[in-house]
Amino acid sequence: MTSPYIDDTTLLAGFHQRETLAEKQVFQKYFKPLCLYSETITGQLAASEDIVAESFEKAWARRLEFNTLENLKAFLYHIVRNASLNYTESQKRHRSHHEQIRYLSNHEPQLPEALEREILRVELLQEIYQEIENLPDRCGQIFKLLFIHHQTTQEIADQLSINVQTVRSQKARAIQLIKTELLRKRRIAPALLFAILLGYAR
Amino acid sequence: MEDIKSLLLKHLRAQTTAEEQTAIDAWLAASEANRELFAELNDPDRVARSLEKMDRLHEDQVWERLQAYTTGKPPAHRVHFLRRYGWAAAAAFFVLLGTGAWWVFHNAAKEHIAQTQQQRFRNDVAPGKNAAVLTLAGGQKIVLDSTAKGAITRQGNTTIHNTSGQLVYNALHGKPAELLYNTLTTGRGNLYQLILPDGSKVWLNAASSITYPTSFTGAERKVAMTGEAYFEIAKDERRPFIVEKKEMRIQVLGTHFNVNTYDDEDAWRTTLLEGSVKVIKGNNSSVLRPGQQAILSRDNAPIKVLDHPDIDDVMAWKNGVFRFNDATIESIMREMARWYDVEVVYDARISQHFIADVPRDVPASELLKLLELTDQVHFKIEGKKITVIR
Repeated sequence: MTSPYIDDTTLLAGFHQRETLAEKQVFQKYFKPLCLYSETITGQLAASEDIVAESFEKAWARRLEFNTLENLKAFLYHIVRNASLNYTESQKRHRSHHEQIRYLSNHEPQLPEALEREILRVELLQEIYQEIENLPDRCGQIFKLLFIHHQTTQEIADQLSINVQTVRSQKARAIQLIKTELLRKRRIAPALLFAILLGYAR
Repeated sequence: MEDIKSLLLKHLRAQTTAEEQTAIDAWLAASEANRELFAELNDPDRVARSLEKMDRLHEDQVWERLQAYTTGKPPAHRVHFLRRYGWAAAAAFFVLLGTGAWWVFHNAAKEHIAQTQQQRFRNDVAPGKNAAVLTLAGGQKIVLDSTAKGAITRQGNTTIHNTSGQLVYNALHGKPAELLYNTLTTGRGNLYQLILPDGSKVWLNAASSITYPTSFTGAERKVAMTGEAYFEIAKDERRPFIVEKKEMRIQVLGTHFNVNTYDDEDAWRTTLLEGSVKVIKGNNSSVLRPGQQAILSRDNAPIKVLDHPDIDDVMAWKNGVFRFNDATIESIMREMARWYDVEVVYDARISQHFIADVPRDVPASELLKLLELTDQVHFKIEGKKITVIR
């Protein structure tokens, strides 16, 4: 799907003008990374989804006040962060939240540099996710089910309504490629693993 | 050269050039946090877990809900999550992170505020800076600012050096003839750091003071303080380090802790980060473990120990930020008064609480502007006076 908005400036202009396509693009750009970011604070994906949804509503309500897309992004991250922290606080009063406390003491994104790093993290994860989503049909599906969902061969075959044998041979090919790399280098960089599996899938 | 995001993506695709790899290495060398992020991205299991979470999201449903919100029509499908997490009505209001480079937020002025923010924030107040006054044993005072650099004087067998923001004591060999005491004092709006003759480090917050000997002889290393200070005490098992404020004594061996004894706060708080301290008041004493906080309130109540104080909140001043966690406007203004050296006057009673995370090295108006974004409070700055209005 090609975008009619050639850059951030025109995208924001479209957003200001309430063009649905622009709104959707802005939403899709930030939704998943924001949810992932919020979840690292709350530990609860469903709650984070709610928080992010409401954050978009707040941003939508003041759409004209953003002069650049970066402003909008900064607003979203800050408001999501505060809402997530507040949600976690209110949860803490009911039961101990070791995960949140550990997260907060480990990550401490209160300074701009630390927050930028958190954003970098979730944006990279989104890119990886998008790349897998963009894999051509059958290979992409199998890869996703194998790698992300850790499903068994039988489960994958059932889900895709294909021969178990087909799944097995696809899987075998991937393993073969990896083994070759491993034999040659004795250790495989995860980056290379990605590249091979993605490359093979194409 | 591209930004770090594209470089890291190229790395994940095993497509980096040697030059790009060098740039990545530089970014990795820059901080532990960067290295941690890199490790996570290169771990297929951890990445898979994050991807699995993204897969569980209901992007289309949320989009529909957002559309419905904009047009005012109810969404076509019923979504499983509809509860609001106490936004507008909550007792705590959100103040957004203030980082000038990120964004400047324009808020439409409310009609009942007669003047615009610009008019109300005329005569802004600059943030605090490194400055202090050193009082020597004989009573002589030396102002420590950017002009007093290098070796400034000697006290007995100890030389005293001053560099920007830091006063260093070096005890030379040989026992001094007598015990000499110096006092380092910060005014409101000042910060200073001190290195004691045993190598212990002290960070002094605004409106604080510390009195100490120019060399540590004897069985104890004893200092007295007022206000707030953070200590990193050099380990010396033969000589415990003692911090005194009026009737409170803190006994330490080698450790990192923060002591807040501002008299206009409701209690004196000692927070231990590392090591071990014993807090003593009269017949009462408490030994703290790392992460704990001892609270001495004004009355004759025994020492209270808090197990999980917010360490980030406690150390915020030393880390150059303001951190307010469900704080009243009064406690926020007390901190502002100390850092900006201003007088605060109240024209209104504000009952709401605030959460904020803001750098300290910004003019007063920045913090006030952010607080005003909540629409629950407004301010006027006139020279060194800040008025709190509704």
